[in-house]
Amino acid sequence: MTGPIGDLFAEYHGSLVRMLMRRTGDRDRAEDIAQEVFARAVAAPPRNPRPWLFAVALNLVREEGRRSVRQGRRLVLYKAEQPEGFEGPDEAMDRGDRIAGVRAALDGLTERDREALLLKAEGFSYEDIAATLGLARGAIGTTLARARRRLVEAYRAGEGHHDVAS
Amino acid sequence: MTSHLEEGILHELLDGEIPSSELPPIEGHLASCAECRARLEDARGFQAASDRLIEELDQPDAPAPSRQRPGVSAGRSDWKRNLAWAATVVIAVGAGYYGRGSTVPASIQEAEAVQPAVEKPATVPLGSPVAPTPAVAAARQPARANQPATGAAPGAGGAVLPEKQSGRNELKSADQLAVRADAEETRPKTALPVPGVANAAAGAAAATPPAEPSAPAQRSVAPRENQARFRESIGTTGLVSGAALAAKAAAAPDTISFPEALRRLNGTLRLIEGMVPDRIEALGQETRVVYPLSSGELYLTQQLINGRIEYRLTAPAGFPADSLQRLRLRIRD
Repeated sequence: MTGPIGDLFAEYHGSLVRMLMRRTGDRDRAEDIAQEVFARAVAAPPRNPRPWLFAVALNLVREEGRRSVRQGRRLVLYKAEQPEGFEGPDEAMDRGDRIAGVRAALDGLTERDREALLLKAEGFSYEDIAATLGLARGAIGTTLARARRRLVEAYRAGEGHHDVAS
Repeated sequence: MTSHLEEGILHELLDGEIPSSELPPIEGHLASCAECRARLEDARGFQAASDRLIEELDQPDAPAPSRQRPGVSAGRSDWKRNLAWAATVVIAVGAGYYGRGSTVPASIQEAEAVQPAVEKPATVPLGSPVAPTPAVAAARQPARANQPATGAAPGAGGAVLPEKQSGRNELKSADQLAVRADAEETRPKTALPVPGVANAAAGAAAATPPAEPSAPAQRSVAPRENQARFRESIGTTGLVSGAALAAKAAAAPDTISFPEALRRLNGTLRLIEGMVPDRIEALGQETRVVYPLSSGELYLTQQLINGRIEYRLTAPAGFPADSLQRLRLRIRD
C-alpha cells in the first residue's frame, strides 16, 4: 500500500527534481526542495497535484533566491557544475561551457518566461502551465514564443560558436 | 486575427494546443501566406533549439529522460533510488518542516483509522511488560468491532509472535531503552481510552501518537535492567494478553511509501548511511526500513513513542555482533 501521496511521489518526484535541477543548477538543492514540496503535500494533499507540486516548488526557489540576495550571497554554479564521468577533459570542458552558457541565458529571462519553458519541458500542457503559474491559458503561447526566442538568442549571443539550431 | 498569424499562435500550433475546430482558418492562412510559413519554420527552429538547450542543463546522473509523459509512473526502481538519496537529505528537511508544528490533516488520519483492526491494538502490548487492564481491553474492543474485518480474527489462539526478536541480534542505546521504559510505565495510566470516545470515530485520534507525559524520574532505571525487561516484553508470551498476541501475529507488514513512512514518524525517518533500503514496512505503529543482507534482512525499526522516535536495529540470527554494531553507528538521526 502506498496511498495517494506515495502515488504522487512515484509519479512526479523524478520530473520535479529534474525541473528543479534545471532551474537551480544544484542537485542537492533540487532534492531538498522537492522533499519539502512532498512534505507539504503530505500535510495538505492537493486536489490538482501536478500544478500544485510544481507551483510550490517554484515558489520555494523564488523565496530561496530572494533570501540569498538579501544575505548578499549569489550562487554561481555555472562552472562548478561541470559534469564528471566518461568524457575526456576537452569534452567535459566543452560541455561545462555549454551548460554555463545555457544557464546564463536562462537566468537572463524573466521569471515567468523561464518557468513556462521549464514546465513545458516537463511535458506540461498549456492549461497546466497556466494553472501552475497563475496565468491565463491564452497567454501561454505568447509567453513560450517569447521565452524560446529569447533563450536561443541570448545563448547565441553569449556562445556564438555553438550552433544550437543544427 | 491580424493579417498574419501571431507568433503565439504559431507556437500553439507547433505544441499541438490548437483545438481541431480552430485549425481550418489557420491552415488556410498558412496555405496562402508564404511569410507565415517562413515564420512557422522559424518558430519551429526556436522551439527545437530551446528544447535542446534546456536538456543541456541535465547532469549525467540526472533523473531519466525529460520527455516523461504525464501520468506515467516512475516505478519501483525509482522509488528505491529515491530512498537511497533520501538517506542524505530527508532527515533534516522532514524534521525542519514538521518541527514547525504542522499537523497531519484529519483526512489522512481518518484514512489510517480504517486500516485493518489488527494493526493498532497489536502494538500496545509490545512495549508493555504487563497485560492491559480489563478497562483498557474493554475500551479497545468496540473500536475494533467497528472496523473492517480484513485481518484474522483476534480470537485465533495459539499464534506466536512474528519474527520479531527471538533469535535475532538486537541493539538499542541505553537512552533509547530508557525512553522505552518510560513509555512502558506510563502507558497503562495515560493511554487509557475514554470509554465515550472508544468507537470508530475515535480511531483517527488513535492514529496519532499518544501525547504521554514524560517521566524523567523513571529514567534512572539501569540500562541493563531495561534491556532485560524489553526483551521479556517482546519475547515472553505470558506478559501480554492472548487477544493482543493473536492480533500481533495476524498483522502482516504493509509495504509503504517513503512519504507515508515520514508521516508516520512525524517527519523524521532514520536510515543507515551508505545502505540502500529494499522497502519500508508498517507493522502496527512501528515503521521499519528493510535492508537486504546475504543472510536475510536487516530491520531498522522505528516508532514514535512519547513524542520521541525510538529505534532498534535487528539482524538475522548469526549475524556478527561487531558488524551490527558498525551498522548501528551509521544510523543517521
